[in-house]
Amino acid sequence: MTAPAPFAVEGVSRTFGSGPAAVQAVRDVSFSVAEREIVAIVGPSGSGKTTLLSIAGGLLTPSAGRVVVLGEDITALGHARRAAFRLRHIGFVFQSFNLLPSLNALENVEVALNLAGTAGRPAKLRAMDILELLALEDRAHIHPNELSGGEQQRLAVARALANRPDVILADEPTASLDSAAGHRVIELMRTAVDAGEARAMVIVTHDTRILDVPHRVLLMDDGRVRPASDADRASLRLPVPG
Amino acid sequence: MTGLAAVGESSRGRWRSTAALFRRGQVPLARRSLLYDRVRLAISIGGLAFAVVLVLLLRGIMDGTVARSTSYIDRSGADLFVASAGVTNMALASSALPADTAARLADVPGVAAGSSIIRLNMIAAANGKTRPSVLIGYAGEGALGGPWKLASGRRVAAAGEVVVDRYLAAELGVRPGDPIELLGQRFTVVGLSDETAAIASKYVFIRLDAAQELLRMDNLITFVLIRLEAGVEPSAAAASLAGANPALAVLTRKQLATNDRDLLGRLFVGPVNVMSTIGFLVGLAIVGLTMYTTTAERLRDFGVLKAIGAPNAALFKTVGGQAVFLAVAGYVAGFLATLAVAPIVTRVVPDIAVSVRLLPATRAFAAVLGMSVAGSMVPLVRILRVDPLMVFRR
Repeated sequence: MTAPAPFAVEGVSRTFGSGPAAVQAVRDVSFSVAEREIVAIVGPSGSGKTTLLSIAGGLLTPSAGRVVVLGEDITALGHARRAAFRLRHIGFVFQSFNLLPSLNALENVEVALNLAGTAGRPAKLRAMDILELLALEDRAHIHPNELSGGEQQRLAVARALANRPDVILADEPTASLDSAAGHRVIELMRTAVDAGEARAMVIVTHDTRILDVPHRVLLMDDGRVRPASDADRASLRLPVPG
Repeated sequence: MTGLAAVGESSRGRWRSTAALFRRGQVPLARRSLLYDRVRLAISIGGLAFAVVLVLLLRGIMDGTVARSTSYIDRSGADLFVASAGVTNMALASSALPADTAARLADVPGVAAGSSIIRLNMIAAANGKTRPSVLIGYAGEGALGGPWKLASGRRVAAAGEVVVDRYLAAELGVRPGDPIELLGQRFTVVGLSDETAAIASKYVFIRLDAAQELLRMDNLITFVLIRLEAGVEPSAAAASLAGANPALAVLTRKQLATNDRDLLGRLFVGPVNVMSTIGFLVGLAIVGLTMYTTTAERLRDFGVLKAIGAPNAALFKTVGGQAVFLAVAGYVAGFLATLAVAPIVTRVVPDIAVSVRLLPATRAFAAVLGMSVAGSMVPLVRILRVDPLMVFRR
């Protein structure tokens, strides 16, 4: 028996409002992400990327379709169970970092572990390991407002990885960073996936500078997702697969 | 752990997850969040402490002042107090007894000594100033009911002499050797008594015969103070004496002091409760505002926690932890401030005593905790309504 894909979106649609004013932000989107695979979804602003990511992360309920993580339909779960599922199986990385400013770097990672039931020394050791993986070990006791943008985003990635999630969902993770810092963050995210700290990753972005890192690129426009064609690859200057 | 395992989590499993939030060794998110803005935290704790001081000090003043109001009863040396039938207190009661009552009672078995006194609320005047006072006429050297501690000078020896409470003397501007007027009659101050000041009842002591003449109470007294022989039980002796003398009220020292305290306490309790309620509401407003502003500024943080999957219990824990932290810090600061302020109050206003007792202090702590929890309700509701999707807003 083949193991289920860590992550799959099946026929997902989402409509906001009703009647003539209804807006269909996501239209019948399906894709899956294999073990250790990084998929980027590229599209312009307003194409529905963030709505899709919200649905993929169980933060928004789709109008139709389902999201399957390790064979489990998370859209069928109630509010509390979906939150519990997110905590243990999904890691989020946001464009604006969303770190807790009152906690230092180590504690920002530790708090995610605490929420999932790991406390004390094991939580500290795990948090420190992750910070090392993201080259932040010497910044462990620094508060987020004293970190550079790149360091803050790496810290956000560390928090997302804390509970060894099945999938990382990253929303424009490099949009607030310069090219070098953005690339470093993405490289480190790939290293984390390669190291087995997360089983799969979906990056939603309009930053074409980082598209050499994902294994696969999907394009999103007007709520629809499709694989990148050769023409798209040429225009996006993506490496040719194979 | 697989996704299936998590999804299939039983209610027991969820309880276990909730319990895990309270395990030791976790990041103290509530405390860190409060400590992040130290200026506001200091203002909040200061405000809360102010409310605590208000509540504790008012209660302490009431308790201390009421307790001190019975200092005459407590320190007179009498085991029993005899008054007219029906009299239950000394502070406000009118009592009149035949002057030979003490002599009659002195022969009763178990009675070691009996002393007559006249006690009356009146006005003392000197140097153009007048002050309310309590006149005690007592039988002189060796008798019960005279001043028990002198700050300076001596006890009365002649009919025209008076011992005045030291704080009353200061208010009137008199010292030993100076004249003082009681009901228009001139007396000479020969001594200043100590520990005889309570609110509206600072004592002046003259001889019993001088009091009878001053008040035109020939052959009358107001109370008899009785000292019992060693080993005689006061309540049994009081019951025996009252049984044998139906025209008399006989109260033990403890009974009379309790009755006086209850009486004065009732007079005080209304205004003190009003002031304490104001203090409580001030504290509630401070905690509520602090919790609300802290939460409003950190709403995005709570949105992040919800987005990554924090259960509501974790949010309750954070807000509740902040409320408890504020309550404890505010109470400790307020309690210590009360202890520091109390002696200053007594020094500035000598007829006020402050007694910070365990029970009211414990009640005040419960009230502070209650107001903190109540103050955290509004922000908690706001947090529970936070849409985790806000984390995607730039």
